[in-house]
Amino acid sequence: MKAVRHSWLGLLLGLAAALSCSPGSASPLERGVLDNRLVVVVEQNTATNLAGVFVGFRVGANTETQGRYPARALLQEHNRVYAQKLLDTESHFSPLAAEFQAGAGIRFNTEWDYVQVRATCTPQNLESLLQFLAQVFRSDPLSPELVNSARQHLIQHCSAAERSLAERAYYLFRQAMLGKVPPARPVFGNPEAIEAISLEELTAFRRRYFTGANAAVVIVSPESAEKMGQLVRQSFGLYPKGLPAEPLASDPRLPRQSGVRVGSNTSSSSAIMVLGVGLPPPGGEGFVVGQVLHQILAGAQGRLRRDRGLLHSLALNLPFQLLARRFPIKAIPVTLESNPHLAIYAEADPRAIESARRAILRHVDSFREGSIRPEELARAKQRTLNDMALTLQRPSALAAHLGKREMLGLDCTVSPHQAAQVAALTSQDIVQIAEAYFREHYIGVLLPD
Amino acid sequence: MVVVAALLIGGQAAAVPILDPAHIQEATLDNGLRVIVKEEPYWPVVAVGVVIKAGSGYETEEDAGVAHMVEHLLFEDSGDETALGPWIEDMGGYVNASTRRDFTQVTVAVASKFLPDIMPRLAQGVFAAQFTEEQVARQRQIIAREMADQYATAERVLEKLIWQLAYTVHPYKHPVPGTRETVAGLTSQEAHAFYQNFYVPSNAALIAVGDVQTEKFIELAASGFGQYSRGTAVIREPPTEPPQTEIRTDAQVMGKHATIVQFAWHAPGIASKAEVCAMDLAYTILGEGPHGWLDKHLCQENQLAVACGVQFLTQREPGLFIITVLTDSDSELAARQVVLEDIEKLRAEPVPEQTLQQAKHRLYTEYAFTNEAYTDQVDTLAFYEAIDSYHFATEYIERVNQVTAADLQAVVNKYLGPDNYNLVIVRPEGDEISVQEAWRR
Repeated sequence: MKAVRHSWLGLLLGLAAALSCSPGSASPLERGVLDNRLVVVVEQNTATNLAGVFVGFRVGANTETQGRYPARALLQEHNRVYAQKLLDTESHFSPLAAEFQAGAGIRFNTEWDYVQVRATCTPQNLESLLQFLAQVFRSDPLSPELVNSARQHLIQHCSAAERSLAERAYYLFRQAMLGKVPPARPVFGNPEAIEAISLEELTAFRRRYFTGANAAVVIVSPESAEKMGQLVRQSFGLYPKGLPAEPLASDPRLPRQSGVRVGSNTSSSSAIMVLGVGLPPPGGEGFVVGQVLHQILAGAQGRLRRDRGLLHSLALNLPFQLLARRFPIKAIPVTLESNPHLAIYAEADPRAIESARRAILRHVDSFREGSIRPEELARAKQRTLNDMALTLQRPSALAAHLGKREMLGLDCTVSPHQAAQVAALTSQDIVQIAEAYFREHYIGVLLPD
Repeated sequence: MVVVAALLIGGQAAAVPILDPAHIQEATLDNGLRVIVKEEPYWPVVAVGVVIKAGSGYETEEDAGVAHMVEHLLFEDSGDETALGPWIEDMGGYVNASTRRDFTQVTVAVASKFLPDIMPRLAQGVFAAQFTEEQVARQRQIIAREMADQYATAERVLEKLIWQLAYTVHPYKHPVPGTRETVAGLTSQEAHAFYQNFYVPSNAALIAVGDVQTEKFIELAASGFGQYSRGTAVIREPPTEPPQTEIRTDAQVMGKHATIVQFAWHAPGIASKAEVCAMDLAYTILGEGPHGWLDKHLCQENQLAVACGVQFLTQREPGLFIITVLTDSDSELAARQVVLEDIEKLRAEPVPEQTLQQAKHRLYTEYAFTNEAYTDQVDTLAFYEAIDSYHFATEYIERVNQVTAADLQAVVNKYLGPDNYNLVIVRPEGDEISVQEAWRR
């Protein structure tokens, strides 16, 4: 750790402020909490003249009980529509609109554990961007017209998702793994649920959860930490404090027995399957095991590609050229969420679904048996480290990663800490985690009608 | 002997200059390889690019497509462990190779701790590549398939037609991948000859951006790349394209729906830097999204087009300023008229100061986004180093800021004339007769 110094946030706000540092980076990352309990994380980055901004609310699927499902997704869609309206009609946001058109972009997402917006701008427009985002999340009362417009967009999105076989198989896999808990449901809801939420329910939901106590703002920018902190306080300092949301489902209490959820598809003659196992919660060394195992499976020299028996078990008889363009088996990346998992996607002849299941499961089981060769582990570690470093080199990607960790209650120091965990990982560590987590497996499968 | 020269700090357009020259150092290895390093210790990634001054603009009629073929050969997955592309990809790194009219470039990026591993492999992959007759035959097939896919889209057909129409003698008229005929006729001897001539250190530059110390990088460069002999690329100066003094037209029937109209004027090359900057502002004013004049007049106010856009890529030699309009048969003539009226407006009077300033800010923003990641910054530095010098990349915003409304008007008058443009129209099937009618009118 280097460059430890007084946190400006602590001095400025008179509040307890944790100061941590991204070892290996030139500038320290600073974290503080405003009076309204909103968390602010800033990191100065002078490598590029852009600011990456993340605004997140720790409003997870667990909050959508008692008929509120999918309030989060509907509000996010409303926010997106409202943001577009502001950009189109408010002249003081015109420079920001021009930047978005020039390539900056802004993305609204609903995740299993939180909702977020991620944006990029030039430092000259950082103040404007923060004011814009604060206004987007603070609009009250909600406009019935915009909410209805958002409803229609979201229903269209659900229809598109329904047509994606991969997405449907993945949702079935989550249901098999998690049971009938809110995090097992599709985040975008279904048309009936979207239509059923009233404007009043949506407004009450927003007032309850979209508050300082559930929010975090992260900025990675060339501006000084002090300047970034001031800008956040000006924009978000007046948010109501509110109460924290229900805790995330960090202990999903996976079913003790393996499980399968089956659905049907009418658009493909192949069976679509997602098979996976649970992983330890993010933040610990066990989670890193999942990331490394993903890399053992993935890539041209990964186990899934090299195992010709596995390909044969799918009984697809695909021509070589098609295989080169779209291989029918792939490892799904391990992502930061409160219910992490290691999963594999596969397409198979429906008559071969059991042989495919066994062939995939052999790979999962082999991790419990300590089958990983040293050179295989070295390759996977190298891939993991490169993936971490390359994925986060853009300011907006880094801001989003820091924000995601903040949303999950994890330490904000990023890559090097994890890099050390990756470097220290042994095959014994892998066997230990595999023994604890990989005895049960879960499957979502779509079979042709 | 390695010479390291620190650069002078240029003007600053913002709090943090884009591609800050204060962070950039350059050197030349004994074998003539230029080395350019931008230290950015902020994030543990390093991006490295090798740019070879060998693109389709260096080809002849007979070997058109050979530059692209050689790039394919360098990166094909031959199944053995020496193939650079698959090796970098399998270690989780980033790798990209591309062929342009003026150069061919390879960019890789990895976590900085792996830099020493990739440097010798990169050097070997670029300067000591071996390819067999079988590989050339395989790539002929692959490229033929790629071309078939590409020329199934109107966009690529237009690109091919407009460059062929605008250039009569200069090799810029060749499509970068060549034609079906020239690629089918390429031999391994031609590929070898092109590779041996152009892929030499004295005709290349090595660019790094990221978490690396300059001295350390130059040591790695000398160790990995220094072993290859200097070589001397024999470069034929391309024939000078005579000035265009008439309107040229071409048309093709393709697809079932839209009519696509494309105008192209000859435009300044990198030798005319002030004009290049003014031309960049012209394309921004005309074509940059919903605020651009063309979108406003064609799409929003008169609904004559579904979409429109402007392209101007700075090149080693004078390139093209291209306007594309997606319209329909009924609106085509009116849409063409609007395009010419907007150009005429730029010619007739200086743009208002506010318009100029907004365009400058949009260019600045676009440039900032173009250089967001370390790989992006390598690409920009390599691009300008290949066609002139990377210095232009560091001075670009300052030069744009110096352009006045009068400069802009003068450049538009010099290049975007009313009677020296090229026009290509791709019309939907069933409109064959209308094409003839359109020309007649």
